[in-house]
Amino acid sequence: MVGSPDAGSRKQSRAEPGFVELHCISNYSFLRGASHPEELVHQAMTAGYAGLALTDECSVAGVVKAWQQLQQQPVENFSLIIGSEFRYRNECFVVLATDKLAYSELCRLISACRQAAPKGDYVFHPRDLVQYIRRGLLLWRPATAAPDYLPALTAHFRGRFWLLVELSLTDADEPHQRQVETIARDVELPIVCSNNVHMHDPKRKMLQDTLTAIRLNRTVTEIKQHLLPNAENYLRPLKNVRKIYKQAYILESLVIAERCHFRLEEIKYLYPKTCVPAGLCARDYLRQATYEGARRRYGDTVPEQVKATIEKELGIIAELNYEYYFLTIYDIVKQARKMGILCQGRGSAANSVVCYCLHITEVDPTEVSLLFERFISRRRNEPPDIDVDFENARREEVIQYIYEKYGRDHCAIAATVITYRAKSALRDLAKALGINMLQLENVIANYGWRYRDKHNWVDEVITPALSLDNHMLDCFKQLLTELVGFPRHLSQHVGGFVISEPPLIDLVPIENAAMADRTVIQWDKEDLEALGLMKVDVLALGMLTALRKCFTYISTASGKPVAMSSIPRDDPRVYGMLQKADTVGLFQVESRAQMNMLPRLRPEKYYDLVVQVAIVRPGPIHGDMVHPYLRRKHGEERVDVPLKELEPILNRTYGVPIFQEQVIALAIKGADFTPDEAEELRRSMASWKREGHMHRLRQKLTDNLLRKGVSQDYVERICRQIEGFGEYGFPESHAASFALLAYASAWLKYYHPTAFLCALLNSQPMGFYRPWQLIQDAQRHGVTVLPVDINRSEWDYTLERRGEVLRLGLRSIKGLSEPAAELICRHRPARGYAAVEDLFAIPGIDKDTLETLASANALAPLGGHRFQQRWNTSGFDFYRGLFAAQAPQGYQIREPSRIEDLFEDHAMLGFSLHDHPMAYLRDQGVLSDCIAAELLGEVQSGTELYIAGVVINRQRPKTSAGVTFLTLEDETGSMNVIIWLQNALRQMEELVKARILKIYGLLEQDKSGGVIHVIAYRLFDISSQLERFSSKSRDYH
Amino acid sequence: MNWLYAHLPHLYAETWLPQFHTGEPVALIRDHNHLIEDANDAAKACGVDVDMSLNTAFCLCPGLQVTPRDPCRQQRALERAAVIASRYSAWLGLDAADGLYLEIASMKRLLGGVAQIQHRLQLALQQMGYSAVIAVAPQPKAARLLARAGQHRCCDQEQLIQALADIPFTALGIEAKTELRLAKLGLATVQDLVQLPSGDLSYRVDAELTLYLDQISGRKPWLPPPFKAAERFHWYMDLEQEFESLEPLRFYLAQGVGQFCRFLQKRCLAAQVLRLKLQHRHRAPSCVDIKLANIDNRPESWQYMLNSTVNRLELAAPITAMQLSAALFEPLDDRDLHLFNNVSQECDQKKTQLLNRLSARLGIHNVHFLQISTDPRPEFQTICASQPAAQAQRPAAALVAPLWLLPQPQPVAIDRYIIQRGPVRLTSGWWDRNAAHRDYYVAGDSGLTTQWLFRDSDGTWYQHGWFA
Repeated sequence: MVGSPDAGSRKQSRAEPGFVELHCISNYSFLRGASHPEELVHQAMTAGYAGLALTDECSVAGVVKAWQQLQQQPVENFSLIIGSEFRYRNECFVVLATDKLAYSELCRLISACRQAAPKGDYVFHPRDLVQYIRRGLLLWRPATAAPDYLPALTAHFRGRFWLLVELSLTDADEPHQRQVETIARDVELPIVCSNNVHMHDPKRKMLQDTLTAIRLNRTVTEIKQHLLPNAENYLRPLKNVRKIYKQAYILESLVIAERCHFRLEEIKYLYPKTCVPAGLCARDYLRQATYEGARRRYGDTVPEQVKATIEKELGIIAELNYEYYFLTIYDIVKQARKMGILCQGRGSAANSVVCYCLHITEVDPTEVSLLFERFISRRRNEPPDIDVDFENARREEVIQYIYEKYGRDHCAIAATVITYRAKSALRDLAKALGINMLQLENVIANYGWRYRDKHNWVDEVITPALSLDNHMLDCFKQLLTELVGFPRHLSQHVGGFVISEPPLIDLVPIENAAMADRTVIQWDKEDLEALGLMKVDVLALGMLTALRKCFTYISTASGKPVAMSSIPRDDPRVYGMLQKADTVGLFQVESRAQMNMLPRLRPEKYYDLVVQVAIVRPGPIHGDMVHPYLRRKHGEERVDVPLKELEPILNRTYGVPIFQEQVIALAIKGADFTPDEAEELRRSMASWKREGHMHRLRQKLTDNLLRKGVSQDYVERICRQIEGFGEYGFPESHAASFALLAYASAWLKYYHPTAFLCALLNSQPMGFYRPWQLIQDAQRHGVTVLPVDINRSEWDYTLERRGEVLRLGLRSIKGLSEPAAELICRHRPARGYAAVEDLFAIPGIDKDTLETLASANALAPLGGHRFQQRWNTSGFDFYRGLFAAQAPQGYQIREPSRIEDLFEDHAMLGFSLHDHPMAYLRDQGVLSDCIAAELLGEVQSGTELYIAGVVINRQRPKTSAGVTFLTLEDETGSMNVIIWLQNALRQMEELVKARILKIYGLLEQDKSGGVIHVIAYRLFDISSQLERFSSKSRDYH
Repeated sequence: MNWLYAHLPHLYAETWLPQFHTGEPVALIRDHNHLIEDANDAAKACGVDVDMSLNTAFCLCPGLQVTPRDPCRQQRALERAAVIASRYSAWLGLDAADGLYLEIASMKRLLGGVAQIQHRLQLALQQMGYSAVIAVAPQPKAARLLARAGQHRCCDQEQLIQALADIPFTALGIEAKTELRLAKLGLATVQDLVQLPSGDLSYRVDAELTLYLDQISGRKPWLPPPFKAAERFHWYMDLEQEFESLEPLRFYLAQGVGQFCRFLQKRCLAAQVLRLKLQHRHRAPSCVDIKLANIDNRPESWQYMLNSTVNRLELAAPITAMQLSAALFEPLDDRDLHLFNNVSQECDQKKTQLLNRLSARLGIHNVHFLQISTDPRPEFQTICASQPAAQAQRPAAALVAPLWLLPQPQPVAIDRYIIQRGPVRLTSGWWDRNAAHRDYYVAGDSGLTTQWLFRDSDGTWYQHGWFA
């Protein structure tokens, strides 16, 4: 972002007395500061300042970034001071941390102010300073001569209290300085000067004004009175500072800086010790737990190779003092198991046999070739990163356990900094500049973000169509490039927990999250990593919930306990199902792209599944590695490793690099990267394409590989693959963990389809498919599904007849609340409800609930069709109240037609158990020329044909660029359709609007017969055909 | 009693969007949720539909021109249509955003029967560029239902009952949730509803719906509140001979103005403009606005302004008739009714009088109200407006400017000045093409004057005002 400071200007300015800027806000004072912390530090160093205090408003969220900038380009005698400003009416108070204790006080003050207010805001009163700040220094920019709290502040901050004089070359300067000097005389306080910095460079004035407008939600021209009159709130050149302020005030800044010797590197993180039982030392306890686990994993005789690996890992762990970290995760995972919550580690932790023995991960590292160094290395001075997935429905229990066990003061969730991205910046800036929003929305809708070059998008988006005012458009462009990447607000990380031995509040301020009972710190993941703070990712995974539920159902039905460990490995029948891409509802391999790949890759064993999970990702696809891998796997191409030394790395994937780890190892072995360079490569894959230091790595990789005789084409593909990994790549260890879950879900689907379906449905929302798609797929696999029934259904989906059939749960009814369903189940008589009047008698029931049940046909067991039942229940208020004694008047309502039943089923449940819109249309003769989905396999590849179905999935870029993938479904199955760009453009209306499509196109089938799709030539929207047969028009779906 | 209902489905677009009936795709959107409310044929041909989201519409039709609907303009459009329709009925009612009720039973004889009225109204609306569906029924709400269901017909009670069988209940325009309840009972047409036991429908579905149906069928009476067109003043005098000067006609014009003032006072209104239209024999009429600086209803103000206007006026041709008209009025302030504020009232009156005299002498376009803007640039801080400001806003306190500001900064040679104070820096105004980067100084010259100077970004010095 910033270059190196100009040593010349520093040297030159050294001749004069120095100056330290003590009041400076960055863009972490959201929508106020107009510069990044890194820019401010860099500019202060370049301008020859002796130091800079970063004093964001009630926040230290930007200090780590500033500190990192200093670490990258250290400058002698430059000090970064940490502080914060607090605003009270028109007064401004700046607190500076002198030492670690003072920093802790500041964190506590910020936390208190933040926690007293709703998210994003704070409440501050000057008396809070007296309560919290005992060691820190206080600077005060007064607005009134003698506020009532002044005596208390002068008494408390004796010797630590300065008055701030801040002159910005306005007419207010003179009275301000006079007032400050009068107060200084009256209460005997020293004066220090500062520039009240809002930006590193005056060129950011335009952005600062615009940020003000965004903050006030008005246009710039409407809020001129709130804008800074000039651009003087920046890091002024020292000569200007000396010209504007008295020397005594400048020198005072050095006196203050001298007293602020706290440096961020002093924050010594201490792992929580609560996880170790009393009387044991962490090292012994970890060894003991690991070996106990090893015996559970490998039997009483732990293989020597495993023992050796354990010892090697324990050695590194001991050397780096990471025992507490492992034991903390072990404690959390152990507790989750005790609570019956399924969990599994993912990510690089799967490289560790210690993690495997501690049951943190489930991948046996001896089965898959994994790199422990990828997880922990002596060289990398950063804590390991263990991510653990928990059942999504019960993750909150784990989170509350962590709070309870380690204390609320000791743990909190990491922040995620939400930054401006292209669209949000466009919208906010347009509002602030008074640009026509409707026209802008048009541009945004039609731009096609995914397919455009990301570098010159600003010129392409900002066109004269937005405004006739060219000057404003030029401003818009400039502001847009500056604003993108600016932090907008803090949010909470998906599950990154920080736990520490001393109270966390002493390390970093904690503020309220949007969710109740959640607190979030002011630093994000990268900040924590930079400071070496431990973070545990407590993540949520829907499939774990489904698996646990499925095990419970099977155990209950069969009477035998079933768990992950009881699933037999490498069952050929399960792989047979996977090879046919029969994977609806499975973990990770259920998407359209995965389904396309499965019949090609034809997994036969666990490791194939690991590759399967990782191969449909941008890395291997961009690198053109997929097809060579497939050909070599099926023996259609010779396995060829470009260099002999790469054989151990690439042999397991037939010489084709698939995983991120392989590319890094290839860089080390093949391109002679140093371990540091390899590490840099791993961290910065996202910026591979950009100029700068990554360019250097790229050049080295290319040169060295070419020098060793690797072909130009291969090198280019490797480069593209690295670029792809930057977008979204799976490390091998991560894929290995996910492959285990994918296999487990496949096994359950194959052998226990009813229980698996029930578990999936009861774990919604999750996965790629909606409940009705899962149910229809299961029905095609012979699963019997019974309708929702007022006398049999529970809230959840349930299994009946010893687990052989599935009963729809009341939760499947749209618009029915769980408490209402619970009332119905709780008051259900043993013989069941016999008439509508029985339902009227349920205490607390309401008319809407009963009408909803009637429309969902759940009252069918009481006799009569759904329209009649709806009529009967609609009299609830009348017959339940004043006229309770009166028998309801009968009125005959006509019976619904087949199409009306279909509509109502879809409206209330999202699907129809025994009918399908396409079956209906076929019966009406509308689809006489269309081939049904189940018959497509019998049609010869290359045949032109008609198909028709309900559009269930439309992967369509927002514009016409690129290919569109459609999935259609009829009563016999689903069909894949591909629409090329030109066709999509020509028939955009059908593509966008149709709910039922008829397609004329070309059938394509690969040689194995596994992958069938239709290339669409013509699209016909036949949604209205259904309405034609109905007496009324209604939205389908 | 017979009622006619005219539904104008594209009223807003046809009134305010001249391009609506051209080949350009045009759509109207609801401002609050950005859904398409109306679209022309060209937009519909691209697939744009009512109730579609704006993003989808843009996807289908990138060249779509969209306009958000403004409720005030909607009302004005409807009132405009009502004025046209009022020629055919003595009792006219407005409905929602795009419908008109007309009582026509009493007009049948005068205008030649129902069909004739229907035809003439259709023609009149068409001439104004409106497409309309017109239906006639015994009850106003029945006529409304027919028109909104797209049935361009005339029904008696018996035919109405038959017609209801074909009309979906969605044409009733009832709340969506009530529509859903009805659909879930398997009901489809208005007749399905009418046939239900009305008491049952009331407690089972919606009590208001029952009332509505009764009003359609005539079981319960309902009449639309009558629409009253906005007041207009009109005075006309046909001259028996041609006059080449207005001088002999002053007396008659003064009578007209007197009538105008009485018209205003009777209604507690005041006006700022009165239009004088002069007819000529061989050329198009000429119009002159008699305009006050502020609203007023006193004869002396208007007479004074009339005289001043007439004095300045040069006739283009001899006149054959005179007309005075006004359509824009404002209610008089409440303060006029207060008992003890005679002083301020008198002061206000004097102020208005002075302003009117100034306007009369200098011309209305040369009289301005000074206002303060919040712009930090001194030359933009004082603005001239045609109306006085409601409330003065405080400008940014960056600069203490002198009272005497030059209309344009004048370049000066700095060597003849002695800087007394400064600089005060101004960096602002980037949002227009007049960005200012200036350092302001207070400086004295040899002539013992104190001036306000600034140096701009290229180092040139200017004088911007005088302190003393």
